[in-house]
Amino acid sequence: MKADAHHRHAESLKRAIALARPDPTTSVAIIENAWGAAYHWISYGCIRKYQQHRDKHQGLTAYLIGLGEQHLAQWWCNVEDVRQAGFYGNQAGESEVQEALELLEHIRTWATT
Amino acid sequence: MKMGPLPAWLDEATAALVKETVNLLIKRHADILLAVILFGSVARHEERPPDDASPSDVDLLAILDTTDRLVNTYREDIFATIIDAYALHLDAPREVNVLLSDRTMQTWDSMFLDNLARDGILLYARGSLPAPLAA
Repeated sequence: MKADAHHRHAESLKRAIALARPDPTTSVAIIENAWGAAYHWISYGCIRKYQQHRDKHQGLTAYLIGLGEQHLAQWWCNVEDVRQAGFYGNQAGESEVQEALELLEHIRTWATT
Repeated sequence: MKMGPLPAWLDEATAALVKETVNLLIKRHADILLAVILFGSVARHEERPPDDASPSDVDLLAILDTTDRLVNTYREDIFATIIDAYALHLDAPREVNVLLSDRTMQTWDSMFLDNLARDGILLYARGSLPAPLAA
């Protein structure tokens, strides 16, 4: 996938997040979308800054560390934790949604500046 | 739940990353770390191989001595520790995902807890496990 496609997907997921009304029935979906958007922003940012990216989420943490992007790798691991805890563990409350969205904003800022 | 070691079917490079992660978590967060459990497909020996297009991740659960699920006071430092472990083992073919949990585990999905109790491999423990896993 090319940079513009990653950007488009990230923006689309961001709009879906904005449209969702956070409540117990939508929080898992918001977190999933935040995770997806984070992945697309990372791909977009990697192409923009390094002219390369990893076109799948598997192995992304090591890939980012290899690029010297420790902070980004840390945010990505953090988003993975929030997502997995929501998906598998039923841990998807208001605090988790807020954490996911804050991490997404860190990642979006990294990708676009 | 049985106490470690790491399963023999885990490749050497990933095993080294898992050991580094657990050891660094113990070293830097001993005051708050209660247990580390290996769970998921690798624990069950149902993992996809490292040369698969989507190799299975290694899933770890770190249980922390807090009642805050998001472990907000320590969260940033813990993920920094995980990244430091990664940086020493970039050759590992599998990702290691660390899931954080508070010590109560009261709101976790019951099926997830059952799977943890049945298949999980305890890699580190300080004191007794949370009630949902202790039975």
